[in-house]
Amino acid sequence: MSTQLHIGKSVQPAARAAAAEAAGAALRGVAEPALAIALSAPGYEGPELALALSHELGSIPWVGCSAPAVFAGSALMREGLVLGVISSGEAYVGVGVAGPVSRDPIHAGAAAVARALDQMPARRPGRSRTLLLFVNAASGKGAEVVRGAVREGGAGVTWAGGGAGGDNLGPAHSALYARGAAFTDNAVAAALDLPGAVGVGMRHGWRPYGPPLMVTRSCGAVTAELEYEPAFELYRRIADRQGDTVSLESFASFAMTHPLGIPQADGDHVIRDPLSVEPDGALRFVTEVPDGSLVRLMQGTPKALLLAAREAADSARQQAGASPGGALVFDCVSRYLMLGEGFAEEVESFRAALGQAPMMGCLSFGEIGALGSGVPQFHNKTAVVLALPGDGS
Amino acid sequence: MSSHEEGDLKLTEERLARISVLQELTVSALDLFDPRRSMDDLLDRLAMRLGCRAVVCLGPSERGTPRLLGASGLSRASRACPLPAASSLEELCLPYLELAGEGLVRWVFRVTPPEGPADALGCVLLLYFDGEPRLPAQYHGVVERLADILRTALLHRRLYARTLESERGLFEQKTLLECQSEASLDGILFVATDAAASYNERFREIFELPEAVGGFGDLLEPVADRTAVPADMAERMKRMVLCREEQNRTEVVLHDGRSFDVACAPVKSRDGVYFGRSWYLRDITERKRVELERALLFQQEQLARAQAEEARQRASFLAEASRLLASSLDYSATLERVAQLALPSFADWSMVDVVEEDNSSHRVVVAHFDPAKAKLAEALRTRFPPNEEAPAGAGRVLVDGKSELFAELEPALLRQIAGCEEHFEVLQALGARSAVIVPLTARGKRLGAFSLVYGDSGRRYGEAELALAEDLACRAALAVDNARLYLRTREAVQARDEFLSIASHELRTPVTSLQLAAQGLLRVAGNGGFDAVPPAFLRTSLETSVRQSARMAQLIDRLLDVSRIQAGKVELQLEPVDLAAVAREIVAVSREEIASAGCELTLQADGPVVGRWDRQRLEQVTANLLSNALKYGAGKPVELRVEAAGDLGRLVVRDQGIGVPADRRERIFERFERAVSARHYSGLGLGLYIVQRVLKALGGSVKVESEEGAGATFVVELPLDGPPSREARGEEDHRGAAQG
Repeated sequence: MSTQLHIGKSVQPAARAAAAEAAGAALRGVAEPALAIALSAPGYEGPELALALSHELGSIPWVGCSAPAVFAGSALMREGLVLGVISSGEAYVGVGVAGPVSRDPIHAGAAAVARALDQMPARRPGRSRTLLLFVNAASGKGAEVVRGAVREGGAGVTWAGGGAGGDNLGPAHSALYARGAAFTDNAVAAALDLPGAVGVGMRHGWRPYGPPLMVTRSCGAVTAELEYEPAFELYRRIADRQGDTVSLESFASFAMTHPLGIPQADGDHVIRDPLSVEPDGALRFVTEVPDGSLVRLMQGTPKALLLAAREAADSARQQAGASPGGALVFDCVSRYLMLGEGFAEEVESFRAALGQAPMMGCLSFGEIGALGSGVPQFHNKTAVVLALPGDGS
Repeated sequence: MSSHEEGDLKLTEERLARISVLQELTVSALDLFDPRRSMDDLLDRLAMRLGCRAVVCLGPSERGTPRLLGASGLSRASRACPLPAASSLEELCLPYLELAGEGLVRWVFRVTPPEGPADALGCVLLLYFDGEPRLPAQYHGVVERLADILRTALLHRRLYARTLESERGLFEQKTLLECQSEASLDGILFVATDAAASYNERFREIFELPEAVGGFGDLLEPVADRTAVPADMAERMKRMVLCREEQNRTEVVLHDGRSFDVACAPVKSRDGVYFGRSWYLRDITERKRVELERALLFQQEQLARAQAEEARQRASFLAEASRLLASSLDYSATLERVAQLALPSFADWSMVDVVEEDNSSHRVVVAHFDPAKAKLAEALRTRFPPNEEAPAGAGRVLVDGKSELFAELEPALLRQIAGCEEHFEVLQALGARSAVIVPLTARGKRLGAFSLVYGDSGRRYGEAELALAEDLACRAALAVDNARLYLRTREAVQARDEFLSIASHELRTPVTSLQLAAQGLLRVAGNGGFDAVPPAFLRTSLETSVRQSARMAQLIDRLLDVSRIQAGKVELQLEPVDLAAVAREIVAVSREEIASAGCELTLQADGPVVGRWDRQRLEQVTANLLSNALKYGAGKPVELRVEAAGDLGRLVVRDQGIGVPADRRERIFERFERAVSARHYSGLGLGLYIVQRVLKALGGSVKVESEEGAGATFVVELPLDGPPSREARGEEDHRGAAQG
């Protein structure tokens, strides 16, 4: 039996009703459910929804997270629930949860993966192993969680995942689902062994915007200085030189379209999303910016972003086979904010690239995966597409 | 933009990216200088920036086998895989699943430390790519440069790790030492070469110091002030820091009485580096207390032993003294033995003074252990009798009957005892530094005084010696009394024997006369019957028989009378009696005896002296005294005088005969006693005894005044009212007994 993603959705405001409706649709006709993935839009209480989903899913392992918006197929939902059930006759699944991320993110990432892998059999040829990783992005420690997870799981598997959140990055709006419960300051990992190849595509579409800037003082997600100046001041001045005016008030909307990029050796960049200006002029990002690195201000155009989304989906589909059994998309919330009404075009780009494969996804605060063939990292303003093995893989 | 410009821009971007990557990785590599940082952090960044599938750093283990120093992209399971042995790390076949796929491209970089064959295997940095990396060629150089940095970092990391290990070891040792120091019951003070002072909690407690002080100088006063002798302690402390090499041990006493054993020694490393000096204070208060108790116990035990030995010696001495004193009943020998008893162990010289029955006292023995002083001692005996007037000394003891102890005989006191300068000089010549004088008392009777004197031997008397002397004196007094009683007994036995002889003789005489008269009559009658006996012969024989029978009856009556008197059975028939008439009557009936004695008798009785008396007993008294005067009057005139003296009637009988020796005046009124030998004078020796007892019954008295060879005068005094009533007599007897 081939791998297939079955998707159910609901916009019912009540968690129990939504869970029932979505599960009913997703499980309809599914003989061998292996793993369920729940993505919830704002409006639900995490624990209540987790309880309702557990009730509906019974013994089916399931993971997931909350997000500012979810989508099933090309339908973007600012409210509601999307539930995907991966069915496969030869699937093996393991789920792990660990925390707290805020205290020891590397250990949390490693422990969650370790617990998931503990439930897995030894790897066998002809099968692909995928590690889905969900992390609370509000901790600002997404990059460390990923590093810890990779140290446990290694680079020989397919990695994908995203940062959970709600309407914003406040922890009250973030929920991670696993083992029938909702978590906040944790990392959730799901290991999935499937026959055939799993594809992952990851692109962002951002390009350098200003001169290189040395990160001269940085601690975790807060970059205090760039070129020995308060980070915001230099950021503002560079924008000014480019003819853009940035103030404290306008920073959020400007930064949405002008993140930082950490150069990679192959010429690409790992994007870091600025969130806010600290009272001392430092810049707070979604996750860490390495101290001592030379970073670039980046900019993007809707066209470039849409193109990147298409490339990510294409890449995933190419690895998974001609007809993927389904696709899971983590698309940065800031791309949605930047594209606005044009975001539907991005979703359509995914869908178009994936063909008839069932697709579900969410807007995320940070995306997990590898640019190219390297080790996975925590990215921002990026689109990650995971394509399940299809008939031709 | 032209293609040339695009090319330049691309190159610029590449360089910027390279610089950025190198910059970030260099910073990350430099972090490895801290051994607590994981190499994985650097390798993760290296893998991320260069797009590696995995990065592995291998090095030698302590046993020389390959070891995974760090990795990125390897799972935990892969990292746990053991590495096979290999001649070089580059050729090592790694067993990691992540590196199992085909098409992997590997970059190898040596990270060998610049020196040290110990790391012969070296370290290698291995970068794995999925296929040929799409990187500018310069990145190989970037990684090589990074490997150089990594090499230096590893070297420093190792050194730093060793430093940390050393520091940790030092810290452990320091902590251990501090713990030991703090746990120690000894106070510890350490003064470094720069005079910085540190001490443990115990030292702080001992001297009540603050938690910390700046330097040694700050310690001087508070520490010294806690000791019993602050100045001495301050001096010791100053010397402590001045004398670097000195090792000493001393004792410090705090003002609260606690004692501490203080050891002071320099603190040096094994190779002799001098760090300072330490004091170690150990509380020995308890030990000292135990030692003191032990010493006291030992002292007490020694004292007890000495006392026991002394008691044994005294008991032995007293036993020996008792034995010696009991060995003879000779009075003089006993006194001599008493004086010799204590010499020389208990006295340098001694003397014995006795009280005679007439209450006179005299010194009977003076003994000195030094024969050279015997003559001087004899002079003390003969020339200086006990001075009863002296405020102290033997004379005072004879009077008071109380012991005197002179632990130290000062010259002034000795002079008081002596009473005169000459006596004082004799005492000094004999040697008198300490003395004890105890009374000799036995059976409630004061017999004398026993003086024990230490002279030049330097010994001194104390209370113990006084007690011993009193004990000795008791035994000596008993011995003296026994000797004296023995003497008296012997004299009494002698008197009794003499009486028996006299009584036999006195009774034998009339019996013989009776026998002769009877035998004469029988002889005459045998020849011719009683008819043939001439009447004159018969009359004479019968008269002789009657006279001798009467005499014998008189003798027997007197003996019986004595018996009655002795038994207290003197029965009085009281009636008005004229003593003068009684005297005249007795003189009248005694004419024959007076004539026989050849004495001229004068009776002087001017008028009647009437009292309430027993006539017969009064006649008996008068007759006995008259008979006594006639017997011992030596034929010289005898005078009887009767007179009234107030409420008394007085009878005086005076002769001019042989008189009564002074030492017998008291005893002549006792039974069987007489003033002179019985060989020269007949009689039972009971007359005066009967007189004395009868007069006592009548409430009167008799006394004798005499000079030997000049006669004797017996004076009888009787109350005119007669003897006191029985009740009055009983009360008087009772009162007398109470007065003792």
